[in-house]
This record gives sequence, structure tokens and C-alpha cells, in this order.
Amino acid sequence: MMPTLFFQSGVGLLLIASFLALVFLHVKQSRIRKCFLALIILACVLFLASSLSVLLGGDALAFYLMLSGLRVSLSIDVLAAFFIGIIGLVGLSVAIYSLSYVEHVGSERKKNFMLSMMAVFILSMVLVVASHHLLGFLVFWELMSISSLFLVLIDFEKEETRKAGIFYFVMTQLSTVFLIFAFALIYNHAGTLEIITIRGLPPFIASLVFVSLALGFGIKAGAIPFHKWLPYAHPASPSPISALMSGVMIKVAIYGIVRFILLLPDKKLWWGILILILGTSSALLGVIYALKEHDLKRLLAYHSIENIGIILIGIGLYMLFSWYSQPAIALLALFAALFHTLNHALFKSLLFLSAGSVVHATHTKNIEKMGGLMKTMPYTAALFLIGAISISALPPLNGFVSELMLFQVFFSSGVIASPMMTLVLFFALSLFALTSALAAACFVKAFGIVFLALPRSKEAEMAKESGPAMILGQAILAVLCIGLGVFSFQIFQQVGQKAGISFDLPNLLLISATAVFIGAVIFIAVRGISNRNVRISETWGCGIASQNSRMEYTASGFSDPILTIFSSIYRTKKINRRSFHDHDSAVFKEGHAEVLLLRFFEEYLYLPVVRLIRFLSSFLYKVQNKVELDPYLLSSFVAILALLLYLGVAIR
Amino acid sequence: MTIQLIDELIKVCMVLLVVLTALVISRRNLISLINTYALHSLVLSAIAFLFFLGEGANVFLYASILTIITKLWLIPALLKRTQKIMKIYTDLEYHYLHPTSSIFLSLFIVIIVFLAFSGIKDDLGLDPFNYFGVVMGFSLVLIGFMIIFSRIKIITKTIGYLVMENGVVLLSFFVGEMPFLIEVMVLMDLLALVAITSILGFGMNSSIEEFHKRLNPFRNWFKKVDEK
Amino acid sequence: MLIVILSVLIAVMLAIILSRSLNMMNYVTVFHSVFVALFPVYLLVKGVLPAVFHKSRYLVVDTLGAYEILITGVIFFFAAIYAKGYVACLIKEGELSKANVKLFYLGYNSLLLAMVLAFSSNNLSVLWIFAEITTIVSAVLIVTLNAKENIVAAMKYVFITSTAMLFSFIGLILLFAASKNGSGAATLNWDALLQASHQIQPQLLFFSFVFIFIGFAAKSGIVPFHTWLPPSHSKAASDVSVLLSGSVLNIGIYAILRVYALVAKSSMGHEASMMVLVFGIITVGIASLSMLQKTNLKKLIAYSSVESMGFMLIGIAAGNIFWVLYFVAAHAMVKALLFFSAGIIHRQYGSMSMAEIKGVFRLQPLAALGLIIGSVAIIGTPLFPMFMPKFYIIASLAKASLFSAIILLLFLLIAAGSFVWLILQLVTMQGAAPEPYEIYPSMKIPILALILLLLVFGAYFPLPLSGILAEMVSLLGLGG
Repeated sequence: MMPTLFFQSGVGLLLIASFLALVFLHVKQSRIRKCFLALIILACVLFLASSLSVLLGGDALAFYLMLSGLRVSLSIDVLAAFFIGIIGLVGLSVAIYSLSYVEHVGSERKKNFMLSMMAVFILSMVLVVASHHLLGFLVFWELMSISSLFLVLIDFEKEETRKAGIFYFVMTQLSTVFLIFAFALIYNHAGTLEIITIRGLPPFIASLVFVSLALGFGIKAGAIPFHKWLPYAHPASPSPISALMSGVMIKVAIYGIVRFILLLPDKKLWWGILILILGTSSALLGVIYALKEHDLKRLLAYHSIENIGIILIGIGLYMLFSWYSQPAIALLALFAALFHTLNHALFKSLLFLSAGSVVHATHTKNIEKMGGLMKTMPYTAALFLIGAISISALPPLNGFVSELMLFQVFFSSGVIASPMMTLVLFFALSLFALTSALAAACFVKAFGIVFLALPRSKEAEMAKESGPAMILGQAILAVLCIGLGVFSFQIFQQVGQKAGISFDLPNLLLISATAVFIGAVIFIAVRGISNRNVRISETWGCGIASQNSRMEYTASGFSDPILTIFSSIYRTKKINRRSFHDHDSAVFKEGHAEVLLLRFFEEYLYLPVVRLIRFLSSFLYKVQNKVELDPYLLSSFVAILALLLYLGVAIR
Repeated sequence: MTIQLIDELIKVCMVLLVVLTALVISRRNLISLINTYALHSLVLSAIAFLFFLGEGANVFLYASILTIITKLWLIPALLKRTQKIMKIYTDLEYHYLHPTSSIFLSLFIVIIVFLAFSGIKDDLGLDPFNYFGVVMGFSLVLIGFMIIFSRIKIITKTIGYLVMENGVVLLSFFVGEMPFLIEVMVLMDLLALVAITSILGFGMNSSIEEFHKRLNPFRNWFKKVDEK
Repeated sequence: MLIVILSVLIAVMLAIILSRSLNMMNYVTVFHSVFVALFPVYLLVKGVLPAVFHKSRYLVVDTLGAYEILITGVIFFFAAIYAKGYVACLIKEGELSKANVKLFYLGYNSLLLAMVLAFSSNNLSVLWIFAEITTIVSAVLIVTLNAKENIVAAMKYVFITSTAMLFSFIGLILLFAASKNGSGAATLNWDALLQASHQIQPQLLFFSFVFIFIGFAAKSGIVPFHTWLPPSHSKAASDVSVLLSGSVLNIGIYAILRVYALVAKSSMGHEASMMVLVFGIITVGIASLSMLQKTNLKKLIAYSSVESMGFMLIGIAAGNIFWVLYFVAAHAMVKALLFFSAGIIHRQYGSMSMAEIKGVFRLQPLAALGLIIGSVAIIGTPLFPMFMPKFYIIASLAKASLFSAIILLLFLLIAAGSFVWLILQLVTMQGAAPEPYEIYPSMKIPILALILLLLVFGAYFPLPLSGILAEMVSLLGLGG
């Protein structure tokens, strides 16, 4: 029962941490904050331990807790343990990172409040995953939404943060609405609130449940077209929080999708296609939007959308192949999706954390104002580079492995008897491949512009390397990124034995060992041959006397060719206003021209809804806010007459 | 008297009620409006008395007497007093409707009520005569409502409410008598309501101090405390 | 028993009339409400329900009545404590003249009396009369303040509810006649009607239900009869708003529930539930859209009352009476908390305009906390008492009608949005505000107590309560 105990004491520690942080909201000493964070770290380690013990062959844990008269059963099976492991890992490194980051957050109250909410946030995510009771799931889901809302709002003085907060709230509650609806349907038709025993849903209801679950979890995961909250909320919140939200929270939504898809009876073919479409469009559009982004954190947020898309592609493939009864390939797809989930959690948290260090050092999020940070922040640069390589799916890191697995699944689509479906899959494959390529391009841009060349602003020049705790927090993730990539062959041999399938992966350990060996040989050889004299001189600058940072390749310049290719996707709006001194428009007075990127989903999906609601509400306000009595009496009169007519018709 | 004669008389009374209601709709002079209402109530009490003669239930007799006391004497007196204090003599304006359109709407109301209630005519065990009474009663209620929202002054609105209440009483005569205690309590409630609306109506036209003086029976009493 | 109660009431009234100081009147009122709150507890613990007051069975307290009286007593108790400080504030600001205080407390106690009698009425027409009296007394309470708009608000209240209530009376007359035709025994006693309900002509029963519904719907602010509610709840003094919103509104739903119990089992039960559902959804929709207009804090809370009432109707239509009854209690507590806090805000800023509420955490931290916890609770956040009823009612509704469940959820989302906007506004609006207004401790106690109660009931669902709720459902015959 040790794992259970680990888990429970982890929950307890987090509760204590959040409670104490609230109680000591005004305490100034940073030592006490270190204590809170130590509690959080300890809790994360305990979660990790309990999850590992389940993953490494222990039985599923099952226990329960009482919640306002409700017996909420918790159970940690392999799937839950996997996600709890992710939460524990990322939580651990984020907490370590925060040891020094939290001191930069603002007032004392804000710091302590952030820690308290962070504890609640991690706790609620763990409990969502562990919960095997629909109501419990909802309760913790809401707790997760609300604590993360508070975290987004930490910097509430800024207008954009407030906007992001309300946007985030509405979207996250919309997702809860769909979940409530789906759960209510399950409860009504399956007659139970236990998640493990969803049975007896009629086909139509099952489809309805699936659609509303897909919507609910899709919104929370940030799948296009419900992605809009991500690029708002991530830049607004402090970096450790972005790391948690992007690394873990949206994964909890993925957990929900996987969990319920595994459970729902009589799956249809179109379910899988729907998920595949969601995934492909998120992946491609996510990366395309990321390319044009110059806000570092927003860029990462769009990449989260892209990676969620990749994960969803895996899940969609799993569903398709299991519909065509190809269990081995389906399982491979599922493993690819889950492995990518883990990988994305690792490298995206890593990237967000290093971005946080960079943003903190340079006081700007605009990458155009960075540059040359390689020299001032070497460790951060190296860590960011590892994350970037990983997210660009370059061998031998972990991102490569999971995407490779997905490619393998795609390549085996020939086994499907329906040629139409094969065609669809190959189309998806081509888009997926494009996504990978663009992601790599995007991170060449991100890394290059941020870390290489000369600093483009005073702040970037003055940037300082961040403290050891922040480096350590990132280093854990970076090491894991490398380890999971290099040892993937060995790991999946073990997993394959357990799951009873075989993975056809290259032995990256061998390859990278060889590569390292060859590299070392070349290095030694070159060093042996070359002379050691270092010659420092200026690069030839076409004859211009002194070079400065304004001559560098900018982010806009880098992405411009790609922007031109995809110009049909980035819809632009050109505004050109001119005024003249005379009536014949001859003597120019002043003018204003701008080229705006049309935010497609905002303009055509979100805003019309908002406008409609606003219109209705202001109309109702006008109608209901009159001083006189008579209009209101008239309205009840009309209502009563209508009721009379209804009675005359209804009772015959 | 024979039952038939009584029925005929009740019919006559109902015609009178219709005429009086039309007058209430169209009157603009407040005093004559109040008087019309008193007449309206008189006819109602006459109907109650006729019911008493016809069916011999004492409840109708009591109802008739009570109606005379409260609606012929107390309420009109109260209204007239308010009207004098407020110094309003006429209510000229109409909202949404005019006297003529009001009368057309009233006809429409009667038709709708007739149709709506036809579904439960048999369930209630009503003969055509009683059914006519029920329809009349309910239509009166709606017409009273119409008066409330189409006239401006509070006194007129109050009278509209009273007409509604008369309609309810009329309807109850034809459907079946309520227990006497409840009738009494309803009348008490009506009195309180008329009192509060006339005080409120007064308040809308006067200063807040004047209004509170009327509203508050303990005002002077409390002042003594203050002086101590 | 009736004698004991009546003598206490007469003593209270006399004490108020004779008392010479503000505090004295307040203590008497507090005593009265404690008495009222303990009375149903005594009945419940003793297990002597239903308690018959008189052999005519006009006044009978059954479990449902006792439950509603308990809620009323608790709300009035908190409001009475709050009133001690609040009345003093009002007098200081010149919004209430000293001469009107006696009238205020008299009205307060009469309202409590009328509420108790309404909830103890077994006879529906007696219930009707007491409901009418609560209207009149509430109107008096609204106009005790020195403001002309209050008179207009009271006028709206009186006219809109009373005209609608007359239709209820017609419904009662028809029900009376129906009971005579059906079972032979003409009665309006609810327990007798429930027993004989299967003998009553269903069409007639439905007909009278519709009419009774009109009046009591107006009493609890159901659209389109709700138009009196926002002005009168927002113009009244905040402790009166608490009474109106937390307690007086319940009469309407209570009466509708009673009459619905009669019609639900008949062959017209489906029509009745459909009608109630339509009214409920329209109410929730209109109210939640109106809440988006972020101008006046108390109006926002008032519209949220409308929304909650609509939600209760939906719960009744969906057949989940158990959770509707729990929702009633939870709503009363949350509404009281919100209005109490809004009262302090009103004192601080002298206005209810949301744009002027700046720096509230610095000036009135407790009120801000109360508003935030109240807002979080009322949108149905988990770990607060409104969550479970909301989930179960929506689940029942989804069973009955999928489409309306989706619509309802979207409306609830809009309503939640406006409360979150409020929270954001409270948290973020900073500004050079005036000095902190001195708040009497008696105004703080109820807020603290209610926050505590909400937290306790959110985390813990007492088992005896579940028994009581189930008993009420079986009493109404609406179980299963």
C-alpha cells in the first residue's frame, strides 16, 4: 500500500502548502516561500513515485474520498499513472524553477498567492486524472479551471491580462458546459457516476456524448478552432504557470479524450475521422500561425496548439485503425500519441521555462528586441536549444521518436481495405509532414533571432544569466528530453514486451553513441591538425565601416518567404485613410495606412457570437429599464392573453 | 319569486355591469369614475342578493352586505379622500389605447375568454347561463387589467384593479361560493391594497416628507421619544 | 400551539410599538426571528410533523412548510443582526429618517409573521392571502427610505404582483369548484386535494394550475412577470433586499410546487411540466442576458435572483424536486451574502454603480470577500452548495429534453460570465477612493457567518438533511 500512501500524502502536502500560503499571504520572508515550494516539490516526487510504482508493474491503486456527501472513488491505473507521472515531472521542475522565479513576481501577496494557487492547480490536475467518478472529475476539473484562472490573472493590473482572463474563463467554462452535458447524458443512460462502468448507451446518445466530450476536451486542449484562449492566456501568465498550463493542463484534456474514447461503446468510423481532422488542422494551422508570431511566449503557445494537433492525429489514427480492426497498428498509434504527450510536456515546459528566463532577463517578449543572448545566457541558450531540437523532431531527441512512430503508423495505412480511406490518410500524412518541417523552420527562427547574432536592444545587451534554481529546473527537463530520445529503443523494448507488441524503432543509443564518437574523433583530429592561434577580426560587411544589430536578419525577414507562401491563410486587411486640404483631393494633408492580419477565427467565429449576445443584452436592458409602470403591466397582460389562447387550444 | 325571474333579473344586472364597465373605460373625470365604480359594486351586490334569493345560501347574503359596506362606502370614501388630497380631478391621457380601441379590445377579450373557457365548461358542470356569467366575470378581470395599463393616474389604476376584483367576485358567484371566511379576508386584503396604492400614489405626487407622514402612523409617537 | 405562537407574535408587536430605542426594537426583532428559526427545528427534532394548528386544517405545518420556515427564520435572523448596524448607517446618511424606524421594524416583523403563516397554510386560499400580505408589507418596507424612486419601485411591485395574483385567485376558485365536482368535498385544503387529486377532472385541474401559476410566478419574479423585481430589489435597503430575495421570493416557488404536485400525477401532468419548463428556460435566458449589462451591482444580483427562480422552475419541470429544495436553501444563503456585501459597498461608495467601485479590497475587504465568494458560489462552482443541485437538475433535464439542457447550459454560462466580470472588476479596479467607511460589527457578523455556512455546506452534505429532503419529496408525491 505504499504507492497509495505516497499519493495520499502528496495530496495532503499540497493541501497544506496551499493553505499555509494563503494564511501567510502577507509574509515577506522569501525563506517561507522556499518552504512552500519544498512542500510542492516533495509532493511532486511522491506523485512520481506512486505513478512509477504503478507503471513498473504494480497493480492499479483504488481508494476513495468523501466530498460533500459524495463518495468519490479514485483509482490509478496505468493510463492515470502515466499522466500523473507527467504532472509530477513537470510540476517538480516547475517548482524548482520557481524557487528563484517567484521572487520576481511582484508584491508579497502576489508571490504567496501564486504559490498557493500553484499547489491547488497541481493538486486538482492530479485528482482529475485519478478521479474515477464523473462528479469528482467535474469538481476537480472546475477546481483546475479556477485555480488556473487565478494564476493567469496574477498580473491583473494589465488590461490585456484582464482580457485574457475573461476570455480564458469563458472558453474554459464552455468546455465545462460540454462536459457537464456529456456526463449528464452518461449518468442518465448508464445510470452510474463511476467512470469505469460506462455501458448501455444507445448509439445515438453515445455519438452525442462523444461529440460533446470532443468539444469539451478539445476546447480545453486548445484544438483549432477553439484555440483562441491559448495565445491570450499563455503570454499573460507568469512563465512557470505557462509551463504548467501548456505542459500539463492541456494534457489533462488529452487524458480525458483518451480515457473516454477507450470506454465509450460502439465507436463509429466518423469519430476517428473527426478527431483526425481536428488534429491535422490544429497541427498545420498552429504552426503556420506560430511562424508569424514575434511574441516569444505566444509563439510557444501556437506550438502547443500544433503539438496538441499531433497528439490528436495519433488518437484519431488509433480510432481509425481499431475500427478497421488492426489492433497492432492502432496500439502503435496510441503509444505514439501518449509518448508525444509526454515528450511535449517535457520540451514545451522546458521551452516555456527558458523563455521565462529570457523574458525576465530582457523585460520584453518581442523576439525582435532580443538577440545575442547566447553570450550572456549560455546555459539558458543551451537548454532552449535542446528544447528546440526536440520540438523540431530532430534525432536523437524524444520529439523525433514520437513523430517517427506516427509516421510509421501513417506508412502502414496500406493495410486498410478502403482505398478512399488510404487516400485520406496519405493526405493527412502530407500535411503532417509539412507541419514537422515548418516547426523546424520556426524554431530555427526562434533560436536564431533570440540567441544568436548581436543584441538588438539595450535590455538584451544587459541580460544576465538566471539563477541556479532556474537552470536546475530546466536541466531536469532537458536531461529527460535527451534520455527519452537516446534510450527510446530500450524503453520501448520493455514497453513492447509488456503490451505484447513490437516497436520498430532505430536504436538511437547506438546511433548517437556512434555520432558522438565520430564527432569526438573529428574534433580531436581537427584540434590536433589546426594551429591554435585565434584570430579576431570583423566579418566582411560589404564595405560598411561598422556593423550593428540593425543589419541583422530579423524575425520578420526570416519568416517572410513562408508568410508569402501561406498568404492565403493569413488574411490581411488593408486600411488606408487619407485626408486632403481641398475638395478635389489634390493637396494631401495627412494619411494613415496599416496592414492588419485578419484574425480569421476571431472575426468569423467568436466576435459574431459576442456581438449577438451583446445586442440582445442591451436590447433587453433598454426594454426592462423603463421608469413607467405601464409597459410592464402590458407585458404581463399579453402573456396572460397568450396563456389563455394556449389553454383554449390545449384543452379540447 | 320564481327562479326564472331571478335569472332574468341577473341577466339585466349583467347588462348593467357591461354598460358600467364601458363607462369606467371611457370616463375621464375622477369623481364620476369613482361613482361609477360604486355603482358597479352595487350591481354586483344586487347580483349576490339575487343569488341568495335563488339558491338560499347565506354566503351570498353576507357577500352582498359586505360588498355594500366595503365597496360602496369604504373604498369610494378612501379614494375620494385621496383624490381630494392629491388635487387631481381628471385623468385625460391614455397609454397604448383610446376609449374606442379599448372597447374593441374588450370585445376581443370576451371572445378569447369564451373560447378558452369552453374547454372546461362541462367539467365545471355549468349550464349556458352560468357559463355566460363565468365568461363575463373573467372578461371583467381582463378589462380591469386593460384599464390599469392604459390609464395614467394611480387612482384610475386602482379603480381598474377594483374592477378586476369585482370580476373575480362575479366569477366566483357563478362557479361556486367560496367559504365565507376567505371572502372576508380577501376583502381585508383589498382594503389594505387600496390604502397602500393610494398612499403610494400620493407619494408620487408630493414631497417625501409629506408622504412619510401619511405612511407612518407612529410618527408623532416617536417624536416624543426623540425629545427626551 | 397556535396560541403560543400568536402570543409571542403579539408580544413582539407590542414590544416594538412600545419600545423607545432603536436597539430595543432591534433586539426584539432578533428575538422574534430566533424564535421563528427554532420553531421548525423543534418540530423537526420532536418529529411531530405535520403539526395541525386548528381542526379546520387551514394552518398545518408539514415538513416542507417547516423547512421553508427554517430558511425564512435563518435569513430574517441574519438580516435582523445586520439591520442593527445598517439602520444606524442609513440614519446617519439621512437615507432613513428616525421617525420611520419604528415603521420599518414593524413592517419587518409583520413580514416575518406573514411569511411564517404563509408557509404554515394548508389551505391554498389562506396561502394566497398571506402571500398578498407579504407583497403589501414588503412594499411598505421598500418605501421607508427617503427616496422617490423607491415609491415607483414599490408601485411596480404592488401592481404587477397583485394583478397577477388575482388570476391566481381565479385559479383557486376553479380548483375549489373542481374539487367539489370531482370528489364531492369542496375544499382548498392542500392535503385533502392531494388525496383526491386523481378524482379531479385533469383538464380542469390543469386550467386552474395555469391560473394559479400566473400569480405565484409573478410573486417569485418569473419572466414575463418579473419586471418589478430588479427595481424593487435594487432600490430597497440592502437588508430588505435580503429578505425579499432570500425569502419572500420563495413563496412563489413554494406555492407553484404545491399546486404542481396536484397536477403532476394527472393525465395533464406532461403539459404542466412542459409549461413550467418553457417559463423556466425563458426566465433563465432573459435574466442571464440582462445580467450582462454591467451597470448596477444590486441590479445584477436581482437579475441573478430571477435566473435562480427560473432554474428552480426548470428543476421542478425536470422532476428533480429533491435538489430543487436544496437549491432553495442554498440560494437563500448565497443571495443573503451577496446583498449584505452589496449593502456595505453601497455605504462605502454611496452608489451602486459598478464603475465607481474602486479599490474595494483596501476599503472594505470583508464586503469584497463576501461578494467574491457569493459570486463564485452562485455560478455553481464545485465545493459550494449550488454545484450539486445544478448538476443533478441539469442531468434530469437532459433526460427529459436534451435540447433544453443545452440551451440552459449556454444561458448559465452567460450568467456565470457576468459574475466573473464582477469579480474581475472588484479585484482589479484601483483608484483614489475615499476613506474607508466605518462599518458596524453587527454588519460584519452575518457576512462572516454566511461565508462559513457556505463553506461548510459546500464541503459537507449532512445526512439528516438528505432524509428531510427525501421526506418532502415523498410528501409532495413527486418522488421517482
